[in-house]
Amino acid sequence: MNLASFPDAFTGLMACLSLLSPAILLAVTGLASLSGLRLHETLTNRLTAWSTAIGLAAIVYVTGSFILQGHQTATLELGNWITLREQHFHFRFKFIFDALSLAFAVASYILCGLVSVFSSRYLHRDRGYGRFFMCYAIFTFGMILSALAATIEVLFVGWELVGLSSAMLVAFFHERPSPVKNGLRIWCIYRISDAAFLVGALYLHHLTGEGDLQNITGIHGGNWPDGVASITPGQALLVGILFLVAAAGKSGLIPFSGWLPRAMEGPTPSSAIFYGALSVHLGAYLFLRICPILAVNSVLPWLLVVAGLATAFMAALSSRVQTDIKSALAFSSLTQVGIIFTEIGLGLRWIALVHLIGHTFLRTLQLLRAPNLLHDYRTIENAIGGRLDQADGSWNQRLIPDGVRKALYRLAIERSFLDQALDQFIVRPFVGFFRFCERIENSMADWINGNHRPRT
Amino acid sequence: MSIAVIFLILAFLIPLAGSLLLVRMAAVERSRARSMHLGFAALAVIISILASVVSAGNFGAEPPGPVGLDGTGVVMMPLVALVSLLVPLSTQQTKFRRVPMASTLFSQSLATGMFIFTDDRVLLVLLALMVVPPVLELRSRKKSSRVFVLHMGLSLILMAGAWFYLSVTERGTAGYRTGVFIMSIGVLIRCGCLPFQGWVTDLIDKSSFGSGILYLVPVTGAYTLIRLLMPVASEGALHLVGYVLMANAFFCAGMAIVRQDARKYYSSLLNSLSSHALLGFVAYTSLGMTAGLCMWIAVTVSMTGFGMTIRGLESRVGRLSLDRYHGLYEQTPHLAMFFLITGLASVGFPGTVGFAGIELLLESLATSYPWIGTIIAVSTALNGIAVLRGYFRLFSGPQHMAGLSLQARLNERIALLALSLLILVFGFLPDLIVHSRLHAGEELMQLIHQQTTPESGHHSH
Repeated sequence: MNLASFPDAFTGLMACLSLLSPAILLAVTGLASLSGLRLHETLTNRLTAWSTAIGLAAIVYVTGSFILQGHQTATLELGNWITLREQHFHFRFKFIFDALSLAFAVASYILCGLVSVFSSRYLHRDRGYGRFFMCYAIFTFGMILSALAATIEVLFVGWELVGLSSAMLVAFFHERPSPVKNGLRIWCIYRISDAAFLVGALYLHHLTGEGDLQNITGIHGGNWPDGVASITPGQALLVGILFLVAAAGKSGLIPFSGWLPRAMEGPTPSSAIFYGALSVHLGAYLFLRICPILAVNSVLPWLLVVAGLATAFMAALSSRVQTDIKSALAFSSLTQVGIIFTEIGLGLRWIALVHLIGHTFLRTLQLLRAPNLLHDYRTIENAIGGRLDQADGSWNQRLIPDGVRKALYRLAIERSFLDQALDQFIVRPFVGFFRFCERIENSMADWINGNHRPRT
Repeated sequence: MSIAVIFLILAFLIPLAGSLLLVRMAAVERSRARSMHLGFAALAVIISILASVVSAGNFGAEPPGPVGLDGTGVVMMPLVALVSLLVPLSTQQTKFRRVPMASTLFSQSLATGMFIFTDDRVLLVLLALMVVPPVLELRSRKKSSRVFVLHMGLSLILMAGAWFYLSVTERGTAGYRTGVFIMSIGVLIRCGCLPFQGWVTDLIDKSSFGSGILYLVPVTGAYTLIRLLMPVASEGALHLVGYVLMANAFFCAGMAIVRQDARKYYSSLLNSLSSHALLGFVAYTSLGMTAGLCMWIAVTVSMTGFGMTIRGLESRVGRLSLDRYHGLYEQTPHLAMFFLITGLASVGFPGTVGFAGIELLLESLATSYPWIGTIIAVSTALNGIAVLRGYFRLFSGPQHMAGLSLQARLNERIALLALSLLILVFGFLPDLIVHSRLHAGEELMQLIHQQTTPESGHHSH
């Protein structure tokens, strides 16, 4: 363990603690589940609260220490997970503490802590209480790993943990088929995103000979977001497109936007924290982390701008016609995520970071407040004996021609036909082809075995 | 005779002797037969571990005599013995009758023999004998064994024929290349590769699940590839085999997603993952060999556990279909957790035994065959989808109502916990296996290189 780049050894130890704290929570809850031990609600609460509080205190201390001492960047090496020296293969446990990672890690800790407190009441005596907090532990650890990762491999590990916990939480109410179907759909999109990330990471590793994000982005010794990436424009485009697919899956950009409203099938606290606030921003975070690569190729930033603007437009349109509050908030979230991607593409990295952090807090508040807000509305409407005033939509009737308005309405209500398009052009041909192959295989086996089935 | 050789012969003979003793008793006294089986199997595990430990320092270079243990066998032999112990251990009491204890020990003995006998002719004989227990079981269950016999028979004829032909043909001639092609076909059939993957599905569909796991999970095809094909094949031939394996990995991953029957789903998943392990070998670099060996261990450990959970569920609620939700979570929470752990480990989820293997595999393929690497990343993603689909179909949905407890029994928990611990320990401390596999991979490459150089003549002669 090398703490030399920290202002002092104690700050370095605090940085370690910020990583260890969620890891210990995950280890304890995981081992308890594995051994069949059912932790009591109070114990689960205390463990979660203490782990989050310690992690938050540690990361806040590191941030404060950096600010007070004017320190910009530090790295923490916890050794190699896998080392094959002669083959030049290293899986390094390396973490970075800079403006970007600290801001994202602090936001993650605050929001995770907030949601753990909220959930302890919200899910009180729920049969899946332990399961929820197990997924919560995986998610928190995944988020912290992703936020502080200094190598592409560690970022991938965090990315995978966040994906699994998210899918499991969407399917949390697993006795109903709808959450399970949505959970599986989200998992499918996450796996596509993971495959793109993995291939991108491998190519990056192959092209540059390393997975260290500081070296790849040329920020080594400098400060985020300054840096000059050490790859050619062609390589940057290839890797950038793969990472864009990965980020599009994780952040719900077009054409994968359909998963975000589906994710609202999970319990409200997990919807708030996991999809509305933190994990939906992970794609944007990835591009903020590797932003010097964007500067190498002139096409790549525009791809981000186009993807971001298209997503923002589609989501803004869809959010206006949603009939339930969580879906409306989900599309509002997507609108902002699209704008954040546009900002990154335009090179406004600090604005994108501030936007991202601000948006995570606002959206968590809105999603956690949503059920109460509906309750309050109902109480007020009961008290006044009628409906509250609705927003006046007459301006768009004056400005937009009737035919265009109807077309836009159809587009919005069908969520831009994105899910239908994915089903029509990818899922159905895929499933159809393999079902056909299965039928052929069965027929062949029957023929050899001498079992002739009548054609149906 | 060295102590290592004595241990190796004992590791082969103990399960063989056990099977001969049980072959009569099994029909008479099931419980006693089972406990004797477990005793023999446990003893075989201990001896295998001892043999591996003693031989570990000696593996490498060409084994000195007819009995020896290379770097592959050092890990795989105790692992196969462990699988042969855990699968019957987790068998429900009501299903004793369906697990032929004598043939389980016989198969274990043959699998051990495969790793310790250095002569290729013995390997071919053992491969032929390994076909016998599944065929006998299929016959006793009154199921057709034609698909299995046809594929295995064809594979053995091609492999043996090619082996003898190659031994009398000069390297580099057109005839030699034809021989390599025939050998490749034989090995690919044995590995269940496209378009010969049907026998894997047919076997697991018709035999008892436990026997299917024991026959398929040790991925004997991988060893066949290392021992019989790699010493004779040129780099170009291995390249072509790599493309077939890639196609098989992708195809089976796709099939696993659409399968409606849990057993067939399992067979497709296993077949896809086995192809990943084999791909590491055909990459033919030290990193690729390491990846292949790591993946082999990961597939064996995780797919044994994965199969055991599906088998455990089957023994409770009957044959499982994946076209509906079974809602088994509340009744079998432990099996649900083990299903998820073993399933995720099989697809290389971080923190599990499969992660190091898949990372190394993709890294090695990115250098040698980037397109194959890309397709393998996609097929890994598809396998991940298949695992969670299976999980949701089996454990989600309206709660399954049962008149009696369906909870995992103690013996099942012990077996699954042992595998889960292996998965997690090797997952969190991958260097425990990666370094030894690198060493073994390099030694194997050296051995193959010695056999392929014209001066050293043909292999194992």
